[in-house]
Amino acid sequence: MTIFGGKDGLSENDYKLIFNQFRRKIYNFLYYKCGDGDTADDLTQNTFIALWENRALVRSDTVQSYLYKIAENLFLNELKHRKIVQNFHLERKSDEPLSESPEFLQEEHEFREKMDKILASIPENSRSVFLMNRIDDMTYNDIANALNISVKAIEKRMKIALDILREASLKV
Amino acid sequence: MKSEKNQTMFNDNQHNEMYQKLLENRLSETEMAEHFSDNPKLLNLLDTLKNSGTPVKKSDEHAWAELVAKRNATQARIKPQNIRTLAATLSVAASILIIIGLVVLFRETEIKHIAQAGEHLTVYLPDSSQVTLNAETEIRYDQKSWDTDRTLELKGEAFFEVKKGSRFTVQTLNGTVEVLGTSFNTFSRANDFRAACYTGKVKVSNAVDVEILTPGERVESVSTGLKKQTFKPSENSDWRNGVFEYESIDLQIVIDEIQRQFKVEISYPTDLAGRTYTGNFTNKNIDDALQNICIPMNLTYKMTQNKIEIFHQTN
Repeated sequence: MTIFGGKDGLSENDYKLIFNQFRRKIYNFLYYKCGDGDTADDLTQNTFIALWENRALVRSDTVQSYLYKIAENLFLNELKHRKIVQNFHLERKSDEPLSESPEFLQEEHEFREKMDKILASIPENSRSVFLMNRIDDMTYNDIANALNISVKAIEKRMKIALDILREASLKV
Repeated sequence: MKSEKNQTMFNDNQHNEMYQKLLENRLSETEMAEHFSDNPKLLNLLDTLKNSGTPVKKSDEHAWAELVAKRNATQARIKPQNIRTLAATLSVAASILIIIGLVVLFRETEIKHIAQAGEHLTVYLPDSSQVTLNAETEIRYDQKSWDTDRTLELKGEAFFEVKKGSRFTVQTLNGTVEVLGTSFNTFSRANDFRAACYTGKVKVSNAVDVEILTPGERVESVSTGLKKQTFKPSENSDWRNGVFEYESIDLQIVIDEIQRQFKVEISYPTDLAGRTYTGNFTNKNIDDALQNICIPMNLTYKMTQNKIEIFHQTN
């Protein structure tokens, strides 16, 4: 991995590499939390602007947790009063083939709507960890490093998410 | 027996461990069947989740371009940090104050973007609203007051994608277009004024008339005021993609557009004035464009360097 964080901090080139590597992940993280694409887009942009403004302090080994920390703080500043996510919605992966029958697709669509509702009812802290694990394929260790919290804390949040899913899925 | 136990004892440690394994995708088929036969919906849900992603609106390139535009706009705020003695700091502060005073007094805060003939130009405004300028088009706005007053002046034709926020105003010599957050096209050249709404709501006014447009509606200025019509807002058939479509429009307007798109001069017989044209051309190839115009109108043309002469077909 590139070492930066010398006297001049991040170069333009490092900055672009970091952007390409983390933009989607930060966007997803924020989306899991707020459930709104426009807000997640804006906060992602602000996260990277804050990274640039503090480029003298950035080190290659901590840049990931630094980004997540900025993103989380921006989210808290902006939305700490928002308790319920309104339009939480996950899409079918675009590279999945669409060969199924219309009936199947309709059924899947309805199932997905219910799934979105259940996910929206999970507290934001647990939802983001749970979906980072399920969708972004991050291990508990990866998530613990990114968010700079213990694996035990991840397990706890996963359990909260799972308990809600378990209860709700029985009623689907 | 086992499944009954599962249903009644959710807090059973062993069972919880199974859920933990399930989450991490470490469960074998047999284990799965044994422990979760009572809850197939959960398995289905976890499976669906695996094939899901967040809705992403912008490509990485698009997001990068916006980021750089915004970063460069805010960069001026960052000051270098130096440690100095009090006296040195004060004298620097004093001279900075004087310089700032001079800069504030004399600074040109007006920003101007111009697209020359034969080129299109996409620019971002300070609030990351996007403007695409057609050939021979100019916009100008005051950077200093943009945060409080989103107003710009337009000469020519441009397509706007406006970020949600306060009122956004486009002023032209022929009229004004106002919106909150939307995408729309505005055309103002000579006395010709047109606007078309793609998303959101747009208010268009000129000296004599006011119209509110919803998506799929457009207006053009006529002698009595503004005339409202409908159109199909399609992604692929507007000038931003190099496609120019016309329906019963004054031939002179079409010829003017070709002059701008290809940076050429076109002369034509005066008796063409008043004839109308329906059809389209693209800005990829000038011969194709001229043929699209000339053949249906029973005209022909001759091209020498950048000068083109159109005349009547003689049989």
